[in-house]
Amino acid sequence: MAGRRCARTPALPLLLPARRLRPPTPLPAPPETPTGHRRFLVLHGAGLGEAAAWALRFSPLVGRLGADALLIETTGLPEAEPALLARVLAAFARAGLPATGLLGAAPAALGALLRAGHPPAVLTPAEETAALPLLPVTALALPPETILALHRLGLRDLAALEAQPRAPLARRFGGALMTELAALRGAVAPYTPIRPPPRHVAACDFLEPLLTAPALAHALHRLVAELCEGLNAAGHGARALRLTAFRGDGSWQELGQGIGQASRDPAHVERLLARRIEELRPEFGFERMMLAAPVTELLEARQSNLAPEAGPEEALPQLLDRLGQRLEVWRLIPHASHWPERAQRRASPFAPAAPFTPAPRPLRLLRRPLPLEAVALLPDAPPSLLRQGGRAERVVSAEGPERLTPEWWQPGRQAPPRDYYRVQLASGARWWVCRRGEPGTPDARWFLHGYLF
Amino acid sequence: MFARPAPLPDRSTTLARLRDRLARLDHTAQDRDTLPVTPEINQHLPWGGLPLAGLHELLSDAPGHATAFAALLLARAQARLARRAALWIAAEPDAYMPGLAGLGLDATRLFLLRAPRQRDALWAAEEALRSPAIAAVLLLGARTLDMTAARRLQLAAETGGGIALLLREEASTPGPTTALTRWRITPRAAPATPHHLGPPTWEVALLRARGGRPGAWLLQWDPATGQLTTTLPAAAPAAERRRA
Repeated sequence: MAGRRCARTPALPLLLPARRLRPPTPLPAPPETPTGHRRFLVLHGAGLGEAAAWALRFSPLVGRLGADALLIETTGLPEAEPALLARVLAAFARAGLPATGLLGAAPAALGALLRAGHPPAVLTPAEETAALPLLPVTALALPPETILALHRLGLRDLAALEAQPRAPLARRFGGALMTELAALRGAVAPYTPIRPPPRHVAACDFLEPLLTAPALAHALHRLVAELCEGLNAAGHGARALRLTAFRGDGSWQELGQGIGQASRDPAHVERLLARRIEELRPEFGFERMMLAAPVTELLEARQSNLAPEAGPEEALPQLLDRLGQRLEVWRLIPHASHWPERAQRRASPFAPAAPFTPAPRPLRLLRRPLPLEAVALLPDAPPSLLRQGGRAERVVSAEGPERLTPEWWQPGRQAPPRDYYRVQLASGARWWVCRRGEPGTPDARWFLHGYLF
Repeated sequence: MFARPAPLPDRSTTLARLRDRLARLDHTAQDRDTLPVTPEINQHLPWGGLPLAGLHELLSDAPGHATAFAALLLARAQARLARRAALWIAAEPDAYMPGLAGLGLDATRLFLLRAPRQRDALWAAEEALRSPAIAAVLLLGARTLDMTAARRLQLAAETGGGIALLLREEASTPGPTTALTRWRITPRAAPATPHHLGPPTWEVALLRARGGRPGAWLLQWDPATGQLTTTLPAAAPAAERRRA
């Protein structure tokens, strides 16, 4: 801006207030947060453990601390910490789960302080260190018998406990007490997030709860654009997507969507997800939506085409994604078996393909063979007349038999052997028929198993 | 002194120009890629072959022979449009690749799609035909296809450039269609001995071709060389007399 203003011709009468060009005032420095330290928010309240998944709206890293406490890792969140704490507590109160919380560096210490009745606050490490010695032993996460034994010894608060030599304490009370003491002093006890954090997330908050499909579609458009931008910058493509929509009342809904080939094409991702919008049920409206890519793959950068549509290399996986979303799609791969039904297998359309070796086999194999009535001159001769569904077909010529015996190494009851004939009917059609069972025995039966040409 | 009257344009050049203009108006008549069937049939068809980017109907009551003809066209479309795939849509797809491979169909570029309802099948066919990644779509078992659905398929095929094949169970009185061609496939008993079936033979009747004449041929498939040959033009069938 400054450059443009200087470039104006000086003859023009500028009706600008006399203002000196000043360098912009620096942004207010964020409230001093210790850098290089992890920050945690510990929440206490009845039944909070149930709401762990809902708390994912605040941070991708959420852990459970028992049934009534939650741990939210806030390291690196852009919001100022007091504002964040106020927002989280307000959101929980609105959702009908009144909670109290402390934001600080050592989750164990924060939990103990909350149990001791500390009001909600943001604690600097110095404040935390100052508050800890006054902590009563009853607030520690220890079994009741340990606390009782400590009381009998006259150790009522943490200052007294920490003044004791460590070795006799460890000998008497075991590792649990030592671990707790270390955790209180900030040696962070590891926690397990309820979900592994996705590498790529895009989230959006709404002032007004979203209710209508066009509004959801618009929000989705923004989320997809943001997610794909992040994926592009990292050189990744998404293989799975997770759309989480949070309602105001503390409930949420999640949609999962797989992608056959890693993609970060916004048009494709949006088209896939747009079909699923109708599954979302915004009862009283969504106030936050989050789109994450939990599974990603490296995807090399490719110059985008001048033409808007994708080339054949990307178009095929995208088409299969779209078809597979509504209907069942598969490809056929060969399998080493002489038994007709097992010679080919269904595979995912994205599975590696293999060519087939041509064989004198039908073009279409009936999933349920049609029973036939056959007339043959001799029990083991090829049929001369076939009757199917009230229609008689005269057999002009027949090739066979081709005897197939079942695979004895397969588990389960063995099927009887089959004698296959390729028959030419007088009408011109060609069938692949088989006699199941030994010829001449009463349980020998005829079936039409496929159509030849 | 006087300007000479401009020489009247030659009659044949005028006709050629008009034909050219009409061809540009009608998308289907443009010079476009075609699939070869047999030399005789190619010569008979107005496009010099079976045009891609169009809808073609096959009628038959013999599932084997009709599938063979359709699979042959699928294989040729795969060969013609390299790196594109073929899609087989049916209520219960029962394609058997060990047999189909003999016709040259490439299993690595064939996808099967199960669509129990015709509405879904038509949606999938249209979606696939619009894509530039599809060489051919075979839609099996469509019963009655209204003109709108057929027209949509035709337009989708023109967008994507693939061929759409509609294999219908024999409809004795097939209604009007917007397809470019309509064929009836009838199996014929080949000269055979009681213990040898002989080469597969079938009669292919062109009932209707947009801008062309009906015809009928007796085709024979040679499994050893993989060649389709016309043995003799069969008698002209009772073709649909309706014009396109």
